[in-house]
Amino acid sequence: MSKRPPYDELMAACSILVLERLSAADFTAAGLFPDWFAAFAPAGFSPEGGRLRPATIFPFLEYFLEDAEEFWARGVDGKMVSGFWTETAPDGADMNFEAVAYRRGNSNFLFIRRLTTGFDRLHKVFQKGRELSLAHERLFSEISKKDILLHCIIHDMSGPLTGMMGALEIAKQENLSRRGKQLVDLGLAAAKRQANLINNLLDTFREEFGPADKTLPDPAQAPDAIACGREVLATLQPSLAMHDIRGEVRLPPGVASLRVIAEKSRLERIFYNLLQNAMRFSPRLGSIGVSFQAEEDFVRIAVEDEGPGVSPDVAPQIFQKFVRGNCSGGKAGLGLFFCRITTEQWGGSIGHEPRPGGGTSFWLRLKRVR
Amino acid sequence: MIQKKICLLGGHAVGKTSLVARFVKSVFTEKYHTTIGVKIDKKTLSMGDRAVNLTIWDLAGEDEFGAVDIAYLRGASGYLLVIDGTRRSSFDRALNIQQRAEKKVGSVPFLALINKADLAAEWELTDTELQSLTALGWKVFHTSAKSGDAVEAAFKILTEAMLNHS
Ligand SMILES: Nc1nc2c(ncn2[C@@H]2O[C@H](COP(=O)(O)OP(=O)(O)O)[C@@H](O)[C@H]2O)c(=O)[nH]1
Ligand SMILES: [Mg+2]
Repeated sequence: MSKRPPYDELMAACSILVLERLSAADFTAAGLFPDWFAAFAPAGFSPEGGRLRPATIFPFLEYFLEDAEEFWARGVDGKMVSGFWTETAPDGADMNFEAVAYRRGNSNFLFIRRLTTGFDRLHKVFQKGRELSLAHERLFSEISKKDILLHCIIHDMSGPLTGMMGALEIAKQENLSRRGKQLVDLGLAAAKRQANLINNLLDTFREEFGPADKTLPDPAQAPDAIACGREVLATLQPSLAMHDIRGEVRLPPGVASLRVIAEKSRLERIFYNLLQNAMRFSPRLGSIGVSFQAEEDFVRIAVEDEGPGVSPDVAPQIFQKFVRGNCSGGKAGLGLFFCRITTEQWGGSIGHEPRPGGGTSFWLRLKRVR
Repeated sequence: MIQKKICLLGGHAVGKTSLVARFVKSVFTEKYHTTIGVKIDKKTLSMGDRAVNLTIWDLAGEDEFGAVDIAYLRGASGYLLVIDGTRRSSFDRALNIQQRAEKKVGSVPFLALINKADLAAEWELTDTELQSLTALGWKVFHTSAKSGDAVEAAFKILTEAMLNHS
């Protein structure tokens, strides 16, 4: 049988650096070294009886050696293994290591092992696993964005219906022929069916909802908030009239137009939602005001009603998705949520406050464009 | 020379390793190379007339494969809590990690980095969520490991805070 090579040679062949503990910080490294050690050996280090402070080479060990000291002090034979760590060698390549505190008889050893094939395989599994989980996350967020879009489309479709139904209700009061009445009733029934359908669709979407696209609208296309508010108020006129509610625009003296950072169709929808809300809670013969105030960099818009006010228990969440204020049934409870995420996307803010004489004021502050 | 240990904490793939690479080597790669265990880097920062030797512990991100090993925070003078602005999930995770970190090392200085600022148009985090961090008294920075925006500044401000803290 041939003579067995010394153990340190075998260990070095396994990429393991063997250090024997002298004191808490100092170790000796005798014999042979694994190949990788050349990249980390301190300048002027001599292998013969050379002393080493491993924690100065690998800061990771500063941490591990604290635990190892406790382990060695116990005086029990055995070993303790560190977690994996990665160092960048001077040539820029990443190397992975693991340390073992080992005790045998009265000798304490520190093994530092460079990890190769096994670690690389483990890394591949982690890499793949995390990539897949990221891809899954991305796909999921993509799907919810599509959902939101669809949701908004459906929500938009329901807007004009209120106007249509209001107009038809008023038409019914007119002096119509029998045939005319029948047609109006037919129209009303169809509009109600449609509204119902949309409500059902919205219900199925209640699950997930979040803010959609985030780019600021172009200031060059900034709409006039006053004109926008006026138009929406006009389209709601039939419904207002039906409920004997007066709607009016309230302007500061000498101001005829105020341009804001917003996108026109969505700003209209915000007016629509706030006005419909106000209408829903307004008493008969009450009035609803749309007021505008110019500030230095902002325009403050408020929709003011004379309703019962927002109840304190829903107030904190009123701008969250799917919260219904009070008991009168709204649509998806999405209107105010839409208003909030949209104004926030435009760099504005939204809120509500009780009015001094009773009623509620829902206000928006939008960036002003001069 | 002053020696300081800092840790990077956060969910996986938020950009911890990329931020360190940007800071230490001024490089960035789109390719994702996941960290297992902890990656150690060193960099010397000159703070006025003082030089500070930083040992940077880039801890593996937290995910379904395992939790952040909070024990590695031992001896850290400060940490960077990284959030991926494009991924909501990383926000909740960071809040959770921060609580565990505070339990481990107490109230050492830390900064919250909302990373991937170059993708701000795709951010999932809303202003309200970001403001809630400031409301907690956190120092929040928007960084990009890709463009390098605010990366060096963040490390410097953390180091400054660590020097004032000790
Ligand atoms: N666009 C962009 N991508 C980034 C940024 N930081 C990191 N990434 C990418 O995000 C992925 C994860 O980065 P990594 O640093 O490995 O994240 P870690 O798991 O937190 O260490 C990689 O594909 C990076 O290229 C950034 O600021 N902007
Ligand atoms: Mg990493």
